[in-house]
Amino acid sequence: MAESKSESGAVMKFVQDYRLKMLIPELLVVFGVWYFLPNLGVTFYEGNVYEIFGVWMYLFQPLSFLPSGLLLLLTVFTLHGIYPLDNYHEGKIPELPKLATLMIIISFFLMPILVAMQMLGYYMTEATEFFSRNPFWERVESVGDLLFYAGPMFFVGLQWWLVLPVFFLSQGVDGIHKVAHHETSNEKVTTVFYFLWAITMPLFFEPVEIIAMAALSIPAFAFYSYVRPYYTYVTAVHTLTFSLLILVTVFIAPWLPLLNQWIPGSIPLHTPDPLWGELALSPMIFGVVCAAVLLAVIIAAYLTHRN
Amino acid sequence: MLLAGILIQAIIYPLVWLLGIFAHDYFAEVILICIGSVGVQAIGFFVIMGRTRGMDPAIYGQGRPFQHKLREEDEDLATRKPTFD
Repeated sequence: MAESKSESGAVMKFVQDYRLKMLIPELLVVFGVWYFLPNLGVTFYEGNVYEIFGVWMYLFQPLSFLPSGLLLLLTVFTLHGIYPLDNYHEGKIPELPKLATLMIIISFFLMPILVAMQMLGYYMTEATEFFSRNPFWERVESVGDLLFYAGPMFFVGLQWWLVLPVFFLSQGVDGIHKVAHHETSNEKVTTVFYFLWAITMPLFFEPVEIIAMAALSIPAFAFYSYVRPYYTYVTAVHTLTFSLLILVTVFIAPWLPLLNQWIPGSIPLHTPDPLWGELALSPMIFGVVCAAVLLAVIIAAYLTHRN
Repeated sequence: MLLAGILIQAIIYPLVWLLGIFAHDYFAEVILICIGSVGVQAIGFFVIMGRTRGMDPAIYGQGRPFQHKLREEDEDLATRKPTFD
């Protein structure tokens, strides 16, 4: 491992040190925020979401004349300085990385409040290492993940109704990773919090949203076990849990989201206007996709089992 | 469990689609994602089975072997996550 690192070029070293692969989930959140922006009366290339805040807007975004959506994209890149800094804190690299420090300072300048909350999230994820590893600090660690990765949803997209569902989501996602990696102090508590994710989703979302979540999260998790089959049991648990969730969802669909039944209006309307609904609706496209998927499955079955 | 999960999805998604019981602005997109999702999972199932053929089934329940070192210069693999004392 050390050898391959010294041989790799400057670009690869940058990609590894700054953990650029983590841009994938972060950019997904950015696109999510961009999708919500029209609900706030701005677009991702034009308009400042903080203008409704009056004077306070300069605290959230000092460069108030620039579009918040694009600044957010820039911040996601500059905040990656946190990964080398994390390695420095853990003693994995001996010298304080100057570029990384500069990148974090720039991020603070671009969106102070967002980055402050993300930094708070980062320190919360370190809580198990600074204090002690017990179920309480492990939950704090998961909330740190929420602030760090989903922060833009709240502090730029202003989707505050998402706080509770994302709390359960972060507990579930982080929990199942902890179990798979054998790094939890109490497997039972962590497992319970994982199942809370599936159980609480009908409180907050409509049936189609839950189905979309299942359809996206199951293969996303399963990729771990395609690369390393020793994760298969985690994939199996997750696949079955979320299949049962959508099975239940189909039956209780008329009452979803449940929270709106009990506290009307607690989940606001949030669906943005469709971009290309007409195209996707055509039976032709459906047929082509079904055929392509079926063909791919047959080819995969042949390739993996031909001997 | 994995197979059961994939099968349940393979049955429910087309049912939801054909019966059209839910109305949503993004219904068509979600159904497309569902079809793709089941496809990826089915391919993935064959990949797992293909890669672990002839191996002890215990590997499926093993989880990650803990392998990272706390410091570069350490000889032994770590038994815990790094902690500040």
